Amino acid sequence: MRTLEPRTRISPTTKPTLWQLLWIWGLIGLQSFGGGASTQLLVQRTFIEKYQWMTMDEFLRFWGMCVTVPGINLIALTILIGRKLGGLGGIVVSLIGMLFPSALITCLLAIGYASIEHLPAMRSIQSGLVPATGGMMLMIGLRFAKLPLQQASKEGIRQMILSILLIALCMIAVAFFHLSVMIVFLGAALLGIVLFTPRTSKEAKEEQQARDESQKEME
Amino acid sequence: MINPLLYFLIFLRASLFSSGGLANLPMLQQDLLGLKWAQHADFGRAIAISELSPGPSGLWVIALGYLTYGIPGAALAFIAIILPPLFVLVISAIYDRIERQRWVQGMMKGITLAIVGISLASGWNLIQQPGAGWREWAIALCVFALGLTQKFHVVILLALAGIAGFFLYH
Repeated sequence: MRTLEPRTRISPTTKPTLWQLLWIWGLIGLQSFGGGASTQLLVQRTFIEKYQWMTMDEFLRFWGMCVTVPGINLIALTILIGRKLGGLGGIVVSLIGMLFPSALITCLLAIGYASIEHLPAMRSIQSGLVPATGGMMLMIGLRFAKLPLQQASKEGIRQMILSILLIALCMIAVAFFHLSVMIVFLGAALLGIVLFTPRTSKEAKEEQQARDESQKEME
Repeated sequence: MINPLLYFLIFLRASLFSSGGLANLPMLQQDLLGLKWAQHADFGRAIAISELSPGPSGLWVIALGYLTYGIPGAALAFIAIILPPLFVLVISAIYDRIERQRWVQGMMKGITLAIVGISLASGWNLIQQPGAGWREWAIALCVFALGLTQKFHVVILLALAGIAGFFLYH
């Protein structure tokens, strides 16, 4: 059996301290207006691009686990990244940083909301924010697509076509047939097992190499 | 009188049987309205508040907790939404064990591609709301293009969109 090399290794000097982690997550929590799209983008930019504490490949793997658990996926993501960077303490400070300041502001707004509730300007501003988060989500989709498609292009035309078809299928199922996201993930997981499982362990190894290569190219 | 334990369990159940966002709304409505612990208007107000405040949109239940039961309500709601996602640690432990299996590689590839498709779909759904027209697409495409350049901070993109909304929908 082959051994899997960890895809990113953090040397102890570059690992964040718990205070740093608390501060970083606090900033992410406070800046993510308009829901999940902006949060995800901030997390990617901070942890993958700015500090390079994780790779896009790893992020996608984490997110793949987060979508399978109940509740708010972004909280699950906070837990996984927190543990990776700081163990149990990392989980605690990441959750506090991500949720506490925003929850506090939510409560403060709840107190003051009655007085601004009826301002028409508030409505117009909100009407502008919703499509903006939509644009961000499209961008996030495109960023997500880069790594698996690059890998598929290395594995031949058949893999490429199958990958694009599966993306389109999932998109149509959710956007136009309003299928539950959970069902789409389940279906895609099963289709993945049928379509993409390497037939021999040699093939599996080659695939792993293609994946690591694509990852290196992106960095 | 509100029973704190039952109140907490209602929020916990709603969080357990939903996957973020507003999926827990119907269940909370049924339970809290049935017990007369909340009023109809509380829900709309809580959602509007969470749209204005930072953080994941799922935090709207904290506002609901505050509006219906004050600070203890907000605290109980806060705990109730943190517990279910902790299950991801179990998933990650299972994944570490089976990661080497060939079929797991295939499965993760399928899930990764689904994430791409579902992200695109949810972007589409956010833009193409009932009654949406050129203004929504103009804002969305501008944010999309400016975002791809990597030169603009997320908060700046949102502020620009808010300003655009202020003028376009006035």
